[in-house]
Amino acid sequence: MKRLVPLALAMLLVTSPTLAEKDARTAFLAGETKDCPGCDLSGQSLTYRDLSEADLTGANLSRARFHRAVLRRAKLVGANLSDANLNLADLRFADLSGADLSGALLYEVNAGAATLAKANLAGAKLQHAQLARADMAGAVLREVDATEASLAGADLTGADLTGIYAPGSDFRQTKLNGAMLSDGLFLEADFTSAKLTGATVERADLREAKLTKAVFADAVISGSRFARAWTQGADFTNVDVASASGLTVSKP
Amino acid sequence: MRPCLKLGTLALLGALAHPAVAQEAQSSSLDHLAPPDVLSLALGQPATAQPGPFREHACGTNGGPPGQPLSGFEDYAVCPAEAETGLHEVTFRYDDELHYYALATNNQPIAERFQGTRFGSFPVIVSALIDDEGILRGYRVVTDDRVPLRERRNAYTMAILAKSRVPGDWTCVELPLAEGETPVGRNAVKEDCTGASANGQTMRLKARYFHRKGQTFIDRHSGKVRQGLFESTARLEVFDREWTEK
Repeated sequence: MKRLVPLALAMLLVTSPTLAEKDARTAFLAGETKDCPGCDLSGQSLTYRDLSEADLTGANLSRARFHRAVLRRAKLVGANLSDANLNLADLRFADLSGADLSGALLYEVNAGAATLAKANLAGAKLQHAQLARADMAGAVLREVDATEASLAGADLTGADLTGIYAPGSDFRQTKLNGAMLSDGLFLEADFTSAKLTGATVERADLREAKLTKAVFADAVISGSRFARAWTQGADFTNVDVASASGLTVSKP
Repeated sequence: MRPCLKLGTLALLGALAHPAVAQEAQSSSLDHLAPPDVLSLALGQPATAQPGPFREHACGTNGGPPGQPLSGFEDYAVCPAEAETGLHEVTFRYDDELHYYALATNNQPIAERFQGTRFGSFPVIVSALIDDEGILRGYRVVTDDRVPLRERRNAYTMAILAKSRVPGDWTCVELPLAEGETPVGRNAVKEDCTGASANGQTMRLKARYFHRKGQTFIDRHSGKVRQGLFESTARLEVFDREWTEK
C-alpha cells in the first residue's frame, strides 16, 4: 500500500497537464479567460468575440469561426487556423508567425502590421484584406485569392506567391526580394516603388500593372505579360527583358 | 419554404463545401443555413428568449436609424417607451456571417441573398417592440431610406411582399393625395392597410410613393432633373394578441 501512494501521486502529476488543459479550454469557451495556448478549439464558434491580446499560441483552431472577432495583438504563433473563418476579423499587430492558415477565409480582414512570417496561407481567401506593413517574410501564399488586397509596405521577402490571384491589389513599397510570383495574376495591381530584386516572376500576368520605380534587378520574368504596364523609372538591371512580352523599358 | 431553398443547387453546394456551413447542414434541414430574421421573433415571449444571433442592438427611432447602442434586447428599458404604442423600441441588424462567407468563396447568389438586413430583397430597418415587463409585443419593419436610389425607388412595393409574408385578413384603403402631393410620373401610392392573423396578431401596413409638397422631378427654375426627390416607403408593424387586447 505504501508503494502505491507515490505511484498514484506520480500518475496524478503525469495526467495533471491534461486536466489543466481541459480546465483552460472550458474556461476559454465560457468566456472566463482569453488565453488558451495549445488548446484544441477546432470547429468552435468564436464569432464577434473580443480576443485582443489573447494567448492562443500553438492552439488547434482549424475550422474555427472568428467572423468579426477582435484578435488585435493576439499571440497565434504556430496555431493551426487551417480552413478557419476569419472574415472581417481584426488581426492588427497579431503574431501569427509560423501559423497554418491554409484554406482560411480572410475576406476584408484587417491584419495591418501583423506578423505572418513563415505562415502558410496556401489557398486562403484574402479578397479586400488589409495587410499593410505586415511581416510576411518567407510566408506561403500559393494559389491565394488576394483580389484588391492591400499589401502596401508589407515584407514578403522570400515568400512564395506562386499562382496568386491578385487583380487590383496594392503592392506599393512592398518588399518582394527573392520571392516567387510565377503564374500569378496581377492585372492592374500597383507595384509602385516595390522591391522585387532577384524575384522569380515567370508566366505572370502584369498587364496594366503600375510598376513605376519598382526594382526588378536580377529578377527572372520569362513568359510574363506586361502589356500596357506603367514602367516609368522601373529598374530592370540584369533582367532578360526580351523573355517577357509587352515590356518597354526606357533606358535611364 | 425558406428562401435559401430557391437558390441554385450548385450555389448551395458551394456553400456547403465549407466545414463551418457543412456542419450545420448535417442537421438534415437546409433551413439552418438562413440566419434568423424579424419573422423568426416569437411575440408574447420574453425579449431575452428570442432567437439569434442579432447584432448591433440600439434604441429605435420609430423605424429610423439606430439610436443609443445597447448590448442586447435585455437592455430594452434604456429606451423610452413610445407615446403611441407604449412599447420600448429596440432596433437591430441581422448576422452577416453567411453573406461574407459567400463573398469569400465567390458564391454570388448566396452573398446577394443574405446581404444586409432585408425583408425579401428590400433593405430595411427592423426593430423589436418590448413592453415594460420585457415581453416582446411586436415588431416593426421600415424600408431603409439610406440605400442607393435604384433600391429606394421600389421600396414602397415591400407592402405587396409583406401581405404574403405575414398572412392574414388584410383590409386596405387607398388614400387621396393631400394638397401639394403629386404622382411620380403617372404613379402614386398612398395605401393604409390593417390586418389580423389567424392567431390573433394584428398588423398595420403603410405604402407611400409620391412627390411630397415642394418635390418635383424637374427643377422649375433650372430645368434640371432632380433625382431622389420623392417618397417611396413601406412600413409594417405586427403586434401580438395580448397586447392588442390591452
